[in-house]
Amino acid sequence: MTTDAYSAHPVLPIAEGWHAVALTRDVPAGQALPVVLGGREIVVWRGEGGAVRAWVDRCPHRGMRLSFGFVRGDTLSCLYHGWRYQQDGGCERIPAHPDLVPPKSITADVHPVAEAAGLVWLRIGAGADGPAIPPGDWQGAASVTVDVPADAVRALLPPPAGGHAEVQPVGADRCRMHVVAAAGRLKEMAAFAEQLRLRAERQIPLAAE
Amino acid sequence: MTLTTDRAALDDWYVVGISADVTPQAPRRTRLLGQDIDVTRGPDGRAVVRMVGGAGDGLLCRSEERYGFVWTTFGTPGRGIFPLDEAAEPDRRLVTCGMVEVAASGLRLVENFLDMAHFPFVHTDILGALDKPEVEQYQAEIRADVDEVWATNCRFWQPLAAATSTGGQTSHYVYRVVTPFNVLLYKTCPEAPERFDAIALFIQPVEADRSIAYPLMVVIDSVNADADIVMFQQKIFLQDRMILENQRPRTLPLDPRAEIPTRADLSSVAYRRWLKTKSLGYGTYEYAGA
Repeated sequence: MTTDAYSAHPVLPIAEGWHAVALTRDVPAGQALPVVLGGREIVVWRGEGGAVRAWVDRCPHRGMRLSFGFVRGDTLSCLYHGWRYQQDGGCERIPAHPDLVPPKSITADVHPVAEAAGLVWLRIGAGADGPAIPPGDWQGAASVTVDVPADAVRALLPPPAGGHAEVQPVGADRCRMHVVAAAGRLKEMAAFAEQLRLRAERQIPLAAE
Repeated sequence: MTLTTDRAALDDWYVVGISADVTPQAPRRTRLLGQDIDVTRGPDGRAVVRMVGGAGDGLLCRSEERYGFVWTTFGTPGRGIFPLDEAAEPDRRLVTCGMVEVAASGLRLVENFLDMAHFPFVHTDILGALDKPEVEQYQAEIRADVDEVWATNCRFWQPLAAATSTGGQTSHYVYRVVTPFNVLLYKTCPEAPERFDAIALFIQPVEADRSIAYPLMVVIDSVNADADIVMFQQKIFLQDRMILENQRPRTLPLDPRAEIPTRADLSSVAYRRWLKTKSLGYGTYEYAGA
């Protein structure tokens, strides 16, 4: 995508398909959260009606990061000039010209988005209709930033029974691991996430080993 | 970092320090267009600018002092430092408002300075109000005779237009871009409504996406201490910095397809067109879109 290259980070090649980028509970209604996926700057936000969206973190007007903006109802407004975007990405209000109906061509750069297994997902490029996840009644346990490449964390997975983890590449040497848990295993999986981080960054063996 | 080879950028004058801060005891090591330099004073009291490192290590650069700042150039500018007639008016105060480092292209800073539409959102209840966001029609043009960009007939309602304000006013603005990295505005003076305060923003392009901004107030103000005028200006500029460092890309795209303007952005559109006619590349974004 064209606007990916405007990111302040080097944009890395990334697998097409679904990527988990946040725990559902970390994106409450009315808030916008900046995330980085393989160098791509993305804003994840949830309208007050509950629907989550994931867009390129950039207002098409003057390039301001939309994650600095504010959610009102089911719209996200840019902090710089107050341009207001509705859930399909279309701009519905330009405050400098209150009587103008913004042309349809003004739109945020939208990623397909899904919520499943306690996680917010977005799709890069082509892929299935929704993310593939092991069946279960998953809840978000922990998201941790790990300062090693994504593959180094993947090599230490999967978690013990009752847990599932997704790894989001952030930069060449940084990733974010999202761990979800089956009922009754939340604390155990949160502890697992922290132990794995220590092990990956400092080569400390897991306590269980 | 190495010195740029961009001809249009080299052949211009740039501020590289505040005159009052440059003394032989305190030479200033800084960077301009990717080239490290030392700014100091010689035994005769004149400002001296010298390259440090790179192919030009040790070279003396042309320098002048004007409007309270040290200016230099690495090239052969087509004209001298631009005139600012208000600076010579006896009842004006020239207040240098320090320097602010910004991780963005200087060209982004100029555009932000030209922009009225952000006042209500970024300078809420100071330079604009959320319930009065409309930008009325104004005019913007490239003036070929002086090679400057002007925006005229600009009006905006402001709750607290200046340090001297005691209430809201409709401010009248005239904007004047004198070089790609130096810009001025004239706005209604609260203390003398028939005259205009002048505010300048001089920019030292450190690197293509890093700048040092030097605001200068040339104002009629019989009330405030310099420190109050500086505080007002710095508060405004720090609000802008939070925006400037979070625009993407950090450099300025000149391709009209890269960013979407509206009528309120007429001055920005004229500015980008003018930069293109100058073939200025430094601080711009090479648009690689479809």
